[in-house]
Amino acid sequence: MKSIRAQLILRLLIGAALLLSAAGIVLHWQIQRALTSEFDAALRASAQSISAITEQKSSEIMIEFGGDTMPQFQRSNGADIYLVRTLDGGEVARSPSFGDATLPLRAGSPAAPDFFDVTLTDGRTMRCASLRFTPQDGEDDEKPVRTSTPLEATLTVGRDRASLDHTLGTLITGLLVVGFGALAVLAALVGWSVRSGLGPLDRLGASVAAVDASSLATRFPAATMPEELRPIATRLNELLARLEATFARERQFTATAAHELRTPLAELRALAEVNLSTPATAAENAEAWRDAHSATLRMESLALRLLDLARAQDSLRVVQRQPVVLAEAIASSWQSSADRAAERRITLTTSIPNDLTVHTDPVILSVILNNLCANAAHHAPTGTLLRIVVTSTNDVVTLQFANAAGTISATDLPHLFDRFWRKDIARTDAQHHGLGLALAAEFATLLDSTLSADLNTDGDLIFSLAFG
Amino acid sequence: MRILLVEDSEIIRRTVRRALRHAGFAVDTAADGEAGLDQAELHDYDTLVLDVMLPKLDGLTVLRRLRASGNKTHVLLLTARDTVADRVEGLQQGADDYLVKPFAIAELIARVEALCRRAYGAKSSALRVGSLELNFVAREVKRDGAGVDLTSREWRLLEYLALRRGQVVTRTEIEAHIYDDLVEPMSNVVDTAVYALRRRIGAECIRTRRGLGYVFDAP
Repeated sequence: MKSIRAQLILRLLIGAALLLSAAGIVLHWQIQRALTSEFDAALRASAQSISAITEQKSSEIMIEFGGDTMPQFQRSNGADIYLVRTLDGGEVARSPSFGDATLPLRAGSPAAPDFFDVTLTDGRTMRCASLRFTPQDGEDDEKPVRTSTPLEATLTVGRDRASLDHTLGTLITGLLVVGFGALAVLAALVGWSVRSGLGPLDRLGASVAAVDASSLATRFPAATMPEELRPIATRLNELLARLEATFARERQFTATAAHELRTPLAELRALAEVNLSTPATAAENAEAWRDAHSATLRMESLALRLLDLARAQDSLRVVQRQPVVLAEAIASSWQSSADRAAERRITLTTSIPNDLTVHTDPVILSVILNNLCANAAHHAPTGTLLRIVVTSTNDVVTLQFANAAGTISATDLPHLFDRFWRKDIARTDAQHHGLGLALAAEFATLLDSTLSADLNTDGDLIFSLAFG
Repeated sequence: MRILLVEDSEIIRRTVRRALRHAGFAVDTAADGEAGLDQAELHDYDTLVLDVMLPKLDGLTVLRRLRASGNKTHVLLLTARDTVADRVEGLQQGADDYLVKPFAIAELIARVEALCRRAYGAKSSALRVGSLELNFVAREVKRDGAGVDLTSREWRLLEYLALRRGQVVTRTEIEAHIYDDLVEPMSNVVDTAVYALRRRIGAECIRTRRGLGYVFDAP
């Protein structure tokens, strides 16, 4: 069962039913015990009375009911019975209501009779008290000394327990009626309580269900919610805020990527339409193909960059770490930008301990280093110096790429790692898309390192890659 | 009609210039905002096609400075920015039209033609002068109900003269609006073109004012 409400109601009702049943059983047991005890006390009193009027005359035991003494025993259809027997089972006397039934020969003391239930041949269930006693001397008063040997006898007194069983049956019925009634009332009460108690949860659930990509600005009123739901609402609000920011970022990214594609697309479209609609010389045709090729290469470059970025953000990407000699990695990365640097007369100086290694993914590191080298080779002012310094302090290895900042100012620093950011807002340089540093930063995060940028007082732009 | 195209993308600049020239426009080009502003202030263009994101001086600044100096040349903004806010900003700065990249060359030419017509106060796409019927949209001319074949350049000359119907149009003005910087100064290209046009549509509608220029009107 998945419903919290149903589970709560079911469990509460089962608990209530168990409690009511236990209470009913205990109550029934107590009342039954009291009623039976009272019933037994009456039997004991009757037995004591009958034993008191039982006498021994000579060697004969006799009972003399005088007048209306204990008339209940005298009626042939009475509910009370008695049976007096000698110890060997010889019957002395029995009540008319007893009929010709027999009873087991068992006996307690007068103070503690033996109580038992027995069903007679006529179907009646009797509650009996049986005791062993010595009848009184029934000789003449003038003879103070008993002349015969005192005899002992057993007396069994019984009473139809139909009235007792009826009372107990009525009690059980009453307890069941009250128990089921209480259970029904409890069920209604529990249902109402659970429903009203879970109302805020239902409302929160409905509000959450209503949230979609177009309503990420929704926030739940955590302050006015029950204490139990407050942390959930707070976390949901935080999650929504992150989702909203992510969606906005993705929308902006998509818009920017589309914007970046507009110019080469416009070029291709214009080329195609003009060449389809206007006659062209062989030279114009050749030029159009060269232009189309150039525009296509730029779109391809952008697509590959975007693909790299998507891969960098893949949280499932496996980072395969191994010792990497930094001097070799940096030298290798610089090679890919050396020609461009030479064209722009960018010279490189390095200060890298030869044997210094970091435990990292060499492929990802090379992407970061390639981008940092390419950034300097393409964007550092012509004829300037790139200094790469690697230091190791307290287990933190830091790589610094420093070159003249040129037109980069402090206000540009927060945007250097933004996707598609370029200092030249006219995007005159169509060969670059402003994704290299964003890519390097994403990859640095993958390596649990940090890539930052700063300007020093000498006007140098410094990129720092720190491995902790 | 003479157009200035200011666009930093060399491919678009070259391709659009070719298309506009093929449509009969005289086209000058500039690759950045500063050069575009200089040329716009130097020549009397019928329409400016201006990219927004330009090196050195962005298109909106060029537009603002032109308007501030009293230049009323019609301007078509060309940009990859397509939000409503971008378009509103461009139009508020004084642009007359807005076209988002990528664009259809045919649409660009149509918009440029419309702006050129508006430059001379012509709102209608058709004109009847004597026995001549001109349709500016279809670029057709009929004489006594029969179609007349014209080259692009001849059509542009006729269109320019028709848009300035009843006014004296000097040779210099014709050179400035129909021919671009490639035309040699002091050449008799205008006289030759007018002669050719008269042969096609008849001489009665184009009268010569000696020492002044030409007047296009009903005979």
